[in-house]
Amino acid sequence: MTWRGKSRARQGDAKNRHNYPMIRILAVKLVAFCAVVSSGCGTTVPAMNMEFPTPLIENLPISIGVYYDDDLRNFTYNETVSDGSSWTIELGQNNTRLFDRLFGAMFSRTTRVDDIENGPDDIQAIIQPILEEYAFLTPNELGSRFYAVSIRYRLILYDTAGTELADWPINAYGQSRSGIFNAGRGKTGPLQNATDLAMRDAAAGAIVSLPTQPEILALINGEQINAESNDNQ
Amino acid sequence: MLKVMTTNRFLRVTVLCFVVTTLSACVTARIEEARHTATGISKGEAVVILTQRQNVDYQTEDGFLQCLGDELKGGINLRGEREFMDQLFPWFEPSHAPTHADALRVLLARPGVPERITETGVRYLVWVDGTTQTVDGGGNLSCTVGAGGAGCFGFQWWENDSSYEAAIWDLKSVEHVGTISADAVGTSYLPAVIVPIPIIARTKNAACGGLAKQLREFLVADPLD
Repeated sequence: MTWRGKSRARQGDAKNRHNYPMIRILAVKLVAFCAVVSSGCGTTVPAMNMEFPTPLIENLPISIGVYYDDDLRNFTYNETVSDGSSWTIELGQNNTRLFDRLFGAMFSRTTRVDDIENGPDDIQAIIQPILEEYAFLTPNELGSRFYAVSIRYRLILYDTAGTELADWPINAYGQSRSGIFNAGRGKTGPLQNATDLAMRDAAAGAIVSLPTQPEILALINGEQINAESNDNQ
Repeated sequence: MLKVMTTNRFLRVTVLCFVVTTLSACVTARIEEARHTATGISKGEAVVILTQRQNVDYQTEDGFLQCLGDELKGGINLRGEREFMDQLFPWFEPSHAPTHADALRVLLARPGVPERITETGVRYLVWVDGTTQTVDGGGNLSCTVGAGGAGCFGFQWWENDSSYEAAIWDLKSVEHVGTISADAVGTSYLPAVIVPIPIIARTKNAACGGLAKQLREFLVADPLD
């Protein structure tokens, strides 16, 4: 009853009657705006300055050269997911920030090298991290309220002449809860957070696994590493 | 005349808002405690609440942790989860965090870890796990929006189950000293005749309040006294 009464009063008011078409126009514009906003536009996840904590570890007594190629430094991931939205994720700066922090804590001395085949004399070996795979799932795809990110890095160990000695895959995972209203698309925060957690997980995986690798133990002991003996890696 | 109408309308809106916000459905909560050994906390010792993030299907809601932290604040020195994880990185990352007391002993044998924990002042780790789920529901509610206004008609109900568990580890004795579980169940109703009137069963709040109260007693009080 109250509903109809209010409606009548509005119709009987000359000022409101004059404004009625305007309200309709505004409503149409609002609906059109919402449709455009939610119509699967591209989303760029910008290069967030992720800060990685200094690992609480004792460093290994090895002098290591670290080589970052352009693919790692400028890594950008593009994907159009099943709901039609396209995503661009920029990770380059964070890759180098992560490995600078990780290797800086893991090894007693690290040096950036620009040429993998001509390492300086004062290093024992060179490590090159490669980002082999980045993948993510949105809440729509996952059927939950989480963004999930998986990253696979590969750490390749070279001698100072550029001969490959060993390589180790590092698989990592991160997930972050989406908000109530951003379960679909267009919200970068939870995906950034899930990516941050995955990169932290990668660092944790490297910290736990690298010190037990025979090649790393050989470097600690100052032994010669035979490349042929590591073909099974 | 106009002033009287405005006042009446204001009163009606106020009463409606009051009714809507204060209506809440019944919640049945059950708190259980299993204590393995005596506890107690000294001045200067802190507690950190950590979440089990190993589960892929669910994670404890940030809102629940926030609620637990707020409830525990007075009298208990709390450390932030992320701050603690950063200070002990990477040993409390989800895939490498200790999941039982033996793993904690191994972790505390690592160089630098006991010293860093002493720096943080943390005496107790509280591992919180659980979530709130809608376990049942039904009814039908439809809303329409037109040029003249909007309205809803129908009735909906749903049953929520908030089930949480807190495992408490003592870093001083390096032991799992006890577990507290909170389970709250309640049915929410949403009748609507033009205006929907939610009658919400706040199961998560009930579980949070109960768990925090029991946790405070567990940490502060020594049953052997």
